Amino acid sequence: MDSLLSFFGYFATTFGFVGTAVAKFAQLEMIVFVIGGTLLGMAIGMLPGLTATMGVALLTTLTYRMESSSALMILVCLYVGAIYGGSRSAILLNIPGTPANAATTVDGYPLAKAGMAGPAMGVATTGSFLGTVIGMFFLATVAPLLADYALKFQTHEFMWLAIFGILIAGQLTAIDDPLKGWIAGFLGLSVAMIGQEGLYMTDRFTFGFTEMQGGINLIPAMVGAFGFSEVISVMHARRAEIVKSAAKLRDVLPDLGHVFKYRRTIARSGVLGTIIGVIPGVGEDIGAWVSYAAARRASKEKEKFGKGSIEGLMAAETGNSAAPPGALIPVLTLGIPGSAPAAVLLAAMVIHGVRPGPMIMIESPSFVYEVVVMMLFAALAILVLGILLTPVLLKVLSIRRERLMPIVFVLCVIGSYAISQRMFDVWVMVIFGMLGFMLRQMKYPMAPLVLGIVLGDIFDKSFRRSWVIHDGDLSFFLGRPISLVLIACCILTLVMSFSTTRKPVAALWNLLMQPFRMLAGAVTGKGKGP
Amino acid sequence: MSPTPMAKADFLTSLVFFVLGLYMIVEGLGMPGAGGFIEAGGEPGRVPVLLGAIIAIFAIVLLLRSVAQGGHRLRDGEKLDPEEVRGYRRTALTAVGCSFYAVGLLGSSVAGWAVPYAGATCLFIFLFIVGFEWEFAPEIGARRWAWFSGKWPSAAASLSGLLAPLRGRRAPYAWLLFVSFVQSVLVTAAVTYLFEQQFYVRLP
Repeated sequence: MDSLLSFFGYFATTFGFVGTAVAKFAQLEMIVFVIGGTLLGMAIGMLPGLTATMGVALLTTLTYRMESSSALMILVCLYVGAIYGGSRSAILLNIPGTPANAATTVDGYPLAKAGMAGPAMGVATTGSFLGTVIGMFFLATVAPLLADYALKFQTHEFMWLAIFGILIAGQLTAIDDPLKGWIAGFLGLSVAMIGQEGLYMTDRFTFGFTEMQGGINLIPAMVGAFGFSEVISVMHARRAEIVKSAAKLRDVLPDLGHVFKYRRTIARSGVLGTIIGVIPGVGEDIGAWVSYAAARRASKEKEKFGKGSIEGLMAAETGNSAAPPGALIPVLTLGIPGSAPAAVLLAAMVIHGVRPGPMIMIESPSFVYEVVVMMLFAALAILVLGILLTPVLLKVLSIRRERLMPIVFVLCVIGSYAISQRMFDVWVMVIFGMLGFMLRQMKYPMAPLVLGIVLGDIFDKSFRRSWVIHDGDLSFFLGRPISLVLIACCILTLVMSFSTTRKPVAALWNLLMQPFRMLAGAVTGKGKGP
Repeated sequence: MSPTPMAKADFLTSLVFFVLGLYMIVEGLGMPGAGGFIEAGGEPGRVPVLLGAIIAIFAIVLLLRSVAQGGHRLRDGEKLDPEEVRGYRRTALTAVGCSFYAVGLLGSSVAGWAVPYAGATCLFIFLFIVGFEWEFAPEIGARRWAWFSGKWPSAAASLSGLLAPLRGRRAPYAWLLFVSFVQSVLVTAAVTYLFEQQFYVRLP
């Protein structure tokens, strides 16, 4: 009875906080910010080469003087809008507007070529809306519980969490070549070593420059790695050919029949997208691919996948849109970003005086629900704007890159300069832009690099602190269940990355799971039984 | 079998990463050790040494892998196709142009006069558009005229005689210069006003 009461109490508290946040944001000024942020995000997402991370990084710098709720509302709406907007270029150009929409091209472009661009955009809109709503539900329900649990983490467990984050992000964002993902991650950690370290204020890798004592500021680095490097990438690539689309309003209206028919696919993709979003550094692109693969495996229309499957498109768009709310769960509860744009949002929250991490539910419990409501507003905005403004938004795709890119770069310069008003940050932006472009050309993923820069300080301090606290006794690493689980996860990630070790581990896993499968079979009466 | 461009790139980057790893180890070992107020285990160089070692090990694995794929034979392999060469030319032009604007022009001074932000930005946008669109100017001009005459055929017919001198060989280039100038002035004015007057951001 007590547990039932506490369960209802928990939900009543949640609804109370959500209601307060809705009342706080239901103002004309906020609605204008929601519309503006979402439209800007959709435009950035639609333009091939410009990503959600670049948009969020750039706008973080340009909105840092705004009131914190307004600034964060714009950033969240831009994030959600950009992931959705990328579906337009994926469908019409066969080029994902953002990496998150790569899986969308597989069925979206064949649909457009078959003269169904309008309905395909309608399916993308429905999937994105539902994906965001499913992810938002988990953000509202899981984040507070996880924050409570995160309070049990000790110093060295944060260190293992950082290592696990780098390993898993490195593996999943560079599935063909995890080595490059790990190198990118450890390079990110190394970048975070620049400047005065936090325990004894000793200079590290500053080369005598006083500007470098403060370390490499994340925002100029991100504006460079995602803004400037994307400007170079866009100018490097061939010009894309657009599929002519005379999509009318009625073509892009969501078809509720699709929602009902593919309800299982939507639910599965929403859950998978959220889970992938929660994994550190692994964001929307992987969420979409995993959801797409799962939908294909479970589908009754497997043969349509890759040739213009509505179900495949729905799965990809639901999966990638469920990832942003998922990616914010570790941001809010652990201070660890679930994706690259979430890393910038984390930095933006810090700039605006919020301290994400295990203490969030103690220090500012309402903030988690405010973020949930921001997501809700963003989801509603993509639904409404995505339907109403389709013909207008398609004009964005016809803007010549030669006209747009210098403006983007001018904003990159202002953005990196604005926060600290020093030219050093502009130089950082330029250097990271060049390095980012070169690393991308050589297939090094950027997400682990970003994650490394964010986690570097946590890793450094927790590693050395735990060493000092335990007086160099390495057994403390193995002393607690949380660290044991994290170490096991790290080892498993490493082992599963190599084809030679993957099969024996999978066989061992199957062997261990066999009794449970037999038990489940006996209970349901469907299994083979003992 | 000739090595792929990626194998060659991996070979070169593995060397860079290996040197970086070694540098981090050496630099980390040279940082203050335990003693005084620094407790054993908390030495500032401990984590850089660890990270340097990990990067060096990964670099060796990458090096061995690229050598196995022939990446060390830097002169072998296929040449880039012309489109790729054009892509890299655009890349170099973008990187150099943008860097010159951000690092060379902004915040610098010429003969004791600080380069004004508005002037530098206007010049950058103008040169960027003109530099990249120059070769497409005739194509863009023809497309615009086709669009105009398709939309307003009677106006186009009556204007075609009037505009005949302007539709010569040089006209598209003149039009490009004009449009680029207008865009650069408008964008600079908008950016300067928005950030200085509305966001109270000091511009570089």
